[in-house]
Amino acid sequence: MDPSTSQTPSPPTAVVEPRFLDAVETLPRPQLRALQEQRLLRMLRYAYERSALLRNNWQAAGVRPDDIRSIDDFKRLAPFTDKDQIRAFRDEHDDPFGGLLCIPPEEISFIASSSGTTGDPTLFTWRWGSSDGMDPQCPGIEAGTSNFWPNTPRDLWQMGVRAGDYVVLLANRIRGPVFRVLERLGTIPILLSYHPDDTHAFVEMSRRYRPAVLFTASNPFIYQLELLERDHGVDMREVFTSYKAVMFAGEPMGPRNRRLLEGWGLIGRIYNQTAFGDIAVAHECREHEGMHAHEDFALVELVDPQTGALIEGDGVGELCVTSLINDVDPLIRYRSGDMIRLTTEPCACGRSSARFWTVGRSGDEVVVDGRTVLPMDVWAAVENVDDTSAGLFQVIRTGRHMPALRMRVGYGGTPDLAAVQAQLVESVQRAVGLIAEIELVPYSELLKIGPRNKIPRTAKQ
Amino acid sequence: MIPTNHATPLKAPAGAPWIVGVAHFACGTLPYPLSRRDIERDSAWAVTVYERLGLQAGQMIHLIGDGAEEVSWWPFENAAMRLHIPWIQAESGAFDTSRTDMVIRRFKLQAILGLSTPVLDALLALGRDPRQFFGGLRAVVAAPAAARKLAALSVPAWTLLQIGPVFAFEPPAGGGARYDESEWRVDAIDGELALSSVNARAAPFAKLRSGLRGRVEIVDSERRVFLE
Ligand SMILES: [Zn+2]
Repeated sequence: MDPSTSQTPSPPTAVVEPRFLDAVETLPRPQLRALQEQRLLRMLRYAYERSALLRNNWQAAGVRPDDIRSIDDFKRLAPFTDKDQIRAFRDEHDDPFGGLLCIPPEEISFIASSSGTTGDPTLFTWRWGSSDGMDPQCPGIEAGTSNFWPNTPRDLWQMGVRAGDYVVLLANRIRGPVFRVLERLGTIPILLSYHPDDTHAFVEMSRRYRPAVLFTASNPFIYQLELLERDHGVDMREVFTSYKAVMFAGEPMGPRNRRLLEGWGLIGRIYNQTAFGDIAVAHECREHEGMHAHEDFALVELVDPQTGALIEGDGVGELCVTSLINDVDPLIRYRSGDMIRLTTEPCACGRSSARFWTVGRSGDEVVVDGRTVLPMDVWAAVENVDDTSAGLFQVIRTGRHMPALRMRVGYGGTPDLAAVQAQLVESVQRAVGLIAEIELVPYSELLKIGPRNKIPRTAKQ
Repeated sequence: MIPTNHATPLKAPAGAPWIVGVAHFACGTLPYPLSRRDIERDSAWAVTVYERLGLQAGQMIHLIGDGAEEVSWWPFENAAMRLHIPWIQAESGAFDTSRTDMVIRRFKLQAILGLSTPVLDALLALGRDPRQFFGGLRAVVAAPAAARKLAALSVPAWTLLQIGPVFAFEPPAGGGARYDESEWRVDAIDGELALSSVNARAAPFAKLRSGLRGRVEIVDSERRVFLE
């Protein structure tokens, strides 16, 4: 496909219909809490009987499901779990599911997994409903909900996606057949990959089918589009004319990429997607004021990452989640390692669920000269330098405390490296007040490290 | 409150596009729409492939492929669900080798389908003993170069040919690769394999050259594909 040709003269412009919400999305918070409590108590009894890890942890803590009659009891008594515990259980018991699986293995339909940048990947196990492979079975609660991605149809619907719309899915197969979820909405998925060759196909398919959604763009993908625009004269405004939503995932979108996409006519149509504590993914709504944590699916808590103490009310802390509907591999009081800012203030969109902003991974911060630096803190500093504007970089982290801020930064083209280095040092110093040691490598070297849609933001060397 | 209706999507007519992928041919990359009817027929054929591989219900298989190949793998996923065979998937690029390595180490698999040459090379570079690693499996189905490599290491492997978006399977003993003749016809044109659709599919193809050198022979009254 040649992306510079075959333009249609007047592409259809996206028309975003009024939003609609499920009744449960607007439940007043006291009623939402009552629903959570009812589901939580049922889930605890269900999972205690079936999940070996949960039983193990709770017996060690001397707690039984019968001891818990309310969310308050749960917060007071239930032991936490985390990825390390799951891995330890997996290794000790030679159980690939880490003691989480609540159904007989032969009932599994398929297993997806996380990117696995920090050890063996986390598994997401699905049981699918009907045998024709079209229809997901609800995990014990309501028909038509999958045990992973349960809120994705709801969120896409709010973005304005409707049956009959085409949805470009840039898919990593490892994350599971998300296209099946899209088909439940009556949309027609267009399957592409993050491979650079598929960037051309993306342009061609956008012109041919005029899709409503891109699910999901990433920093490297946007960089490839920028190259097409610059080197092949592709009019990206025209390519994106029909899009009601461009979803963005993998990592936070830097300010420069946001400006770029907005320049392509996507103001108000960029929707961030982020992990929701390994039990689902979360998305922004049309207000773009944080990711909605759909609390009818999950109980959300905030934890002090250092002390493990519960943080009451809104604030910043480690996201801790309990699945309320997943009957396959539910996570109960799972400390995600994601640092978030949480608010339960009502959203202007009308939903009553809490919203959050990811601040970083609790394992990503480095402390240099008493200053705490997360990759997000230096992101804009890297993007602001022309030759490193794709924002592809890593912070070197051999431990939490580092003698100096060390970074590996990707550059495009063949710039004067000494000059780029000097600009970066200055830019990073302005951002975090530290003089960074910077290693420059071509973009292509950094892109080899990850699964094409993102690169690990910290590196041990 | 306006009631939502996202739970009751339109059902597309049987022949309308239900999903769109891309297909790679010598002439370039083409859109590859599939209808529900296409998928149902392709899934029915995939069931016969699993039966030929001797796969059993309730035992895990490992599918390795690229995101953009989902349209080719989808029938094989449906067939697995139909036969109650759970699967776990990984990408075919070398960067994802650690996932396949994890899957083989941690799960009691009955088969691997789609083993790519970069992933096999990377596994061998990790020092995995191929006979031990793949020995207990009912079937290993690998890309042509990977299948040849495995055969040389005394691991019998099926060969997976990708002719455009269509999969063809050749058993370890050889004899040519079978494909779904009720939907497709493969011809050799000037020694190059070319693909045509023979049924009313959402994407009709007529003698599209695949870029693969090969020939077609009739064996047991079936058309079989041989790579050259
Ligand atoms: Zn909102």
